Amino acid sequence: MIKYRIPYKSYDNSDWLIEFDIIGYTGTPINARGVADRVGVLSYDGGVDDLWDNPLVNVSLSSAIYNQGQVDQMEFLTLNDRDCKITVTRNGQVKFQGYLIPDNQQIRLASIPYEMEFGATSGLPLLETLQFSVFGAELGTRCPLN
Amino acid sequence: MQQLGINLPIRWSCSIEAINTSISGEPFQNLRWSQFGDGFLVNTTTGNMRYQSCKYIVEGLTKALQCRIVQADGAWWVIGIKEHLADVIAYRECANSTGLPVITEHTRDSLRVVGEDYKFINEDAVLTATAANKSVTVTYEHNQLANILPNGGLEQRSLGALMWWGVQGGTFAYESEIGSITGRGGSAVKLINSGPDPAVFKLLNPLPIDAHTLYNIFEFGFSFMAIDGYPLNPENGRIDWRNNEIKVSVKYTVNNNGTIEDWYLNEYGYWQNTNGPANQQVISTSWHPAGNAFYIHFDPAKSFFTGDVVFIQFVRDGVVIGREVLFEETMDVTSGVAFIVSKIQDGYTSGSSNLLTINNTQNHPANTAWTEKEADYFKYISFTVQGLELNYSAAITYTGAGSLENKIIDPGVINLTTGNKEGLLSVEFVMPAGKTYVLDDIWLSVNHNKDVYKASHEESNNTKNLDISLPISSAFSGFYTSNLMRSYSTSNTDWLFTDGTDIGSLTELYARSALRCLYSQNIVFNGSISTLGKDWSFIDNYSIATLDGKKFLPNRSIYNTEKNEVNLIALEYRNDDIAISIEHYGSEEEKDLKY
Repeated sequence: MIKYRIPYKSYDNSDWLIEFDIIGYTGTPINARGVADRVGVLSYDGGVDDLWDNPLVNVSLSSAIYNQGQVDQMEFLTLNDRDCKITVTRNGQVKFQGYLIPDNQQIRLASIPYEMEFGATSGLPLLETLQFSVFGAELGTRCPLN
Repeated sequence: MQQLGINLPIRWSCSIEAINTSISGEPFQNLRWSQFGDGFLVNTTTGNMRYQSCKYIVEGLTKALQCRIVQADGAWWVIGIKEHLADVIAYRECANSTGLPVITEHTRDSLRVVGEDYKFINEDAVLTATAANKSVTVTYEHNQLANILPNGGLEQRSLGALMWWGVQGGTFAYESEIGSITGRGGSAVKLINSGPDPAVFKLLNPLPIDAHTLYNIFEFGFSFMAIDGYPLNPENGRIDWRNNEIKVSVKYTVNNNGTIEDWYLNEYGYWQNTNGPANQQVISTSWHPAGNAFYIHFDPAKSFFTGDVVFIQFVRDGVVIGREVLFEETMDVTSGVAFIVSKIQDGYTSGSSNLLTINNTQNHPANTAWTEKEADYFKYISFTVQGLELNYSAAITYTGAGSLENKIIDPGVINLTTGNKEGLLSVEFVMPAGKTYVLDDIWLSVNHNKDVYKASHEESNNTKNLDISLPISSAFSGFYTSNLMRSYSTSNTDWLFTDGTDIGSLTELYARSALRCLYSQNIVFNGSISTLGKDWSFIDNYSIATLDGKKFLPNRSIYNTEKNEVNLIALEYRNDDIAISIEHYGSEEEKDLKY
């Protein structure tokens, strides 16, 4: 279920939305407000000046928002790698989907409101530790697509 | 991606395709990889399954097909580097749905002009250049098991049937699964031939091996246990191997000036395609009136070896009589002559002589004698284990003429012109009538080598070489479990691909494509652009105002979605038709090649 929503408009008046889908959450979505000019930055990393030796181009999202007390940032610290799926849309069309990166999160011990930052990854780096396994019945005609 | 959990449509565009019509066409749908789990199961011999990571598979497959994978516009894009540069990208999409894949075809206008479609901002754009290369070396870092024989451990079964190995011939010959005899767990096969005819237990389809460029050394062995049908020495109860050797055939196909020949490993560690001479030889024959005797002198210094056949022809009472005596065990010359005498009426020997006398013959030009090896003798190697008893296992290693490491015969050049008959290794075990035995862990190992292609632009004054590795590719040798191929036995027909310009293995094509792009300095654009009012995407490609004729692909980009700004690092891409020379060699040649 969607727990947090961060709607914002870009300079060209497009409607952007960042949504947090957190495992186990059952309540209604909670809105938060982004920090100007830092609410949604997507980074595409194709390696250093070489098209030929880095076929995995990871995409990451960095975002800064104001926590006015509605965001449980302690929860962010304790989430597992794939517990929180983040989706970014532009005018209703998906532009990015990935997982919140709980590592290196910081909580300011300050009174609200304060700025908080978070990041997300499209997940390609996570493939390193995901073992590929299938059921026997799937060992039929295996093409790269499946 | 399903296991990652980011379930989005998959879009792909790739023009590389296989030459073999069974898998040609659209590569991501028609190619085959790890059909039997051999690509992602690291160890299938011990039963301790270790799986490859998803990164290994995704990275390996996309790279082999000269693609990159990126998430953009709510989809996973697997897009060829060359295809990414098209003004209009033609791509296929597999919808994010369950059940049968729904695949549709689309196009996308991708060319954007920096300075027109996307305005310069911040005046921070700079141009630099990448280093140019004289050559690109691509190494296929393939995966294989130490034992290159498919299912050589005889562990894998599918619906009860042993994979890749089976029994052929014989009326009542079959195999059954039993526990391993090696003491390492798992299973073995019990081979039973209760019928009157011999049968064979064999690798059902031969294994392609590139022994021309990459592999010239091998070791071979197996574990064996006699169960039933073997005569025993009455003195000690051990197996009497006379006439009961374990017979194994190891065959490799060779292209000899356009003729495909079957060559067989022999007992001395080398290969032959015809019988050699018998060990024992007839020195002379003569006829003597006393006793009407036909004399045959054998070489007193040589023994009769197993497989030696003595052919004798003489005339008696006007009739030409032929005799053929096969030696199924080694005998010294005296014993051998006595053995022949026992097979011929009116034969005689003095008892300690190399002379065989046949009485009651006529003096006739048709009288003659000679020796040969038994027909098809060269096709088999005979093994015995002295002192072995029934139901005791033995680890047998082929030692040729005393060396564990033996040479593989050169099959001839393995390249584009190679047919599908040469370079094929076959292994089979004879199942003699009336015998039962167990086989386990049939193993064959080769020297450690990797497939390397070096593409060079000889006319260039540049000096740099770029090294690239591919974890998944295609190759002639079928024991590369990481190959794109239908099965181990089809690698010799599945390994050739085309990118529309060249034909070769995916490793070679990668080296060629990379060099066509990287032989020259390429411009790197680094600057900020405005995307106001535009739906910027990483899938866009670029031309840049004032840099006429050059095309760029994005490599790193930082997209501030709120400010509608992108800091773009884009690389010039070229695919120039330059003269390229190719060297194909093994990684061992750079350090420790064994010749």
